[in-house]
Amino acid sequence: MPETTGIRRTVRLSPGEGGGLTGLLRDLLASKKIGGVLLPLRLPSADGVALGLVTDPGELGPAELFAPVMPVQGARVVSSLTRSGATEPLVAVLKPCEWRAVVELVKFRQVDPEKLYVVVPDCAGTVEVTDLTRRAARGQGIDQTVDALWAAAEGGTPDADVSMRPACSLCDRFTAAADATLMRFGTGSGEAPVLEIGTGFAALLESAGIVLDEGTAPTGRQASIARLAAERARHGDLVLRELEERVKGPDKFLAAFSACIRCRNCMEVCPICYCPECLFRTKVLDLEPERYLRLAARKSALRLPADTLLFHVIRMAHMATSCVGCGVCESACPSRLPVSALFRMVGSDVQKLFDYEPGRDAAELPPPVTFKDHELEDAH
Amino acid sequence: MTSFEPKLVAFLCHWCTYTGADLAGTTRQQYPPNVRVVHLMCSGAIDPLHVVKALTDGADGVFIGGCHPRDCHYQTGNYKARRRVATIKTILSRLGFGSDRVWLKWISASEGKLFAETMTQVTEELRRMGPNPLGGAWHA
Repeated sequence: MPETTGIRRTVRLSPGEGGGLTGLLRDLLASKKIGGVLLPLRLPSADGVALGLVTDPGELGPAELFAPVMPVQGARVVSSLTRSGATEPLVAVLKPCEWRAVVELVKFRQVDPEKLYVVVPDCAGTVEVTDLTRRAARGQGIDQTVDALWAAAEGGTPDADVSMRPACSLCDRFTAAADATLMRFGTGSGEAPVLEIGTGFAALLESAGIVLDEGTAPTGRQASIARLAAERARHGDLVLRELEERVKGPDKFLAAFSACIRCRNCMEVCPICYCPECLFRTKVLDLEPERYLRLAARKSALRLPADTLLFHVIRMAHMATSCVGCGVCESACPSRLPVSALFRMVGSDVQKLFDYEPGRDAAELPPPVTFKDHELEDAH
Repeated sequence: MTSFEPKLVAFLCHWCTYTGADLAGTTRQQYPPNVRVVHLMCSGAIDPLHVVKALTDGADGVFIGGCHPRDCHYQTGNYKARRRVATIKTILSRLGFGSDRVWLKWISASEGKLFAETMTQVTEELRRMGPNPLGGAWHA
């Protein structure tokens, strides 16, 4: 059961080959107390990572717990694994933004939290999938990219060839409690990995007969996190201010979005856009020919397909309160429109309007499905 | 040169504002003819889509009229409308698309005079604001 509150303990994982979180997951699978583990795995071509569901304890070899890419939003995968009710307990290793999206999808009944345990490793950010493939071709693949991302995250000199996805460069919520947190910030090399676990995960370990020694969080962890969060927040303010300048007003917005080709990839990959009957997948906006002609006559011309601006604004109106800032929308956009920053900017406004934070608490109802008797008195 | 006549689209809830508008008519309250009324059963049926499509299709302003809080014929429709309109106005405001061209007002079935006065006020504001720039953008 995904936890967002409760008592947490810190435990030490065994260091070295065969140990760590991967070793723990192997032991959990072997105990048969869980049916499978969803986690990032190195692809056979070794130039990429994909989420994989593993049921055999012997098949966790290619695990990449700190995957330097996010080719799909893990919450969508968790939804397909649990939406119609999980049959067996599952452990999912997800990034903080994937975890926040899972919490939102629990609220929308697209993820069944029963029998789901989510472990969130600390995240230093990711690069675009294509960047990783390109680097791998030059022998600077997964391991080197992970190292570069962590070096930059913990105050080292950033590698000029490793540029984070835009959404990651603004992200200041790169750790999460969930059912367990795999700590890395502040960990020196050679130090045994440390896992912070909630009561649900502790109970799972106990039922599997797995006993772990008490551990302590790395001493430098809080400071490292605070430093990076401040840096990211500063960068975020700058980027969002520049974006507002670029898109505010119909002329600027339409100019910034002139390259939108209406593929709707942003919607397809978004974890919050789960509706099979999405408005934009129906015929509601397909008009009778005479109406197109009338609209064309009213303006100087009518861009077809119509309703480009409408698509973006209404997608925002429908999902911005739950936007978790993962940025897969921008990664998937063939025109590289600044959608992740745009949704982040607008999302922040509407979330503040309702004092709502996506991913904060699975018991908190999303703004569109509830209301208060007295609120927004000055709205009209 | 013809002076600008704003086009106002008004979504009025059947039980309150639409009936209030009817009362304005039967009691011969005068108000400008710029408003195009869309009759809905409840202000809670409003989706931000309706508001934004009206604006991108050429309306200069959008008005939503519903029952006062606690008086909704369907109990809670107007509370939902209040949240939805606040959301879309926040988005329009951040993007500079003229959030002040969108109004939400509670007008009951007995408030015929208030309806007429409100239509007059809103029309005059729109006249001052000028045409909606989104309406002329063929590439929107």
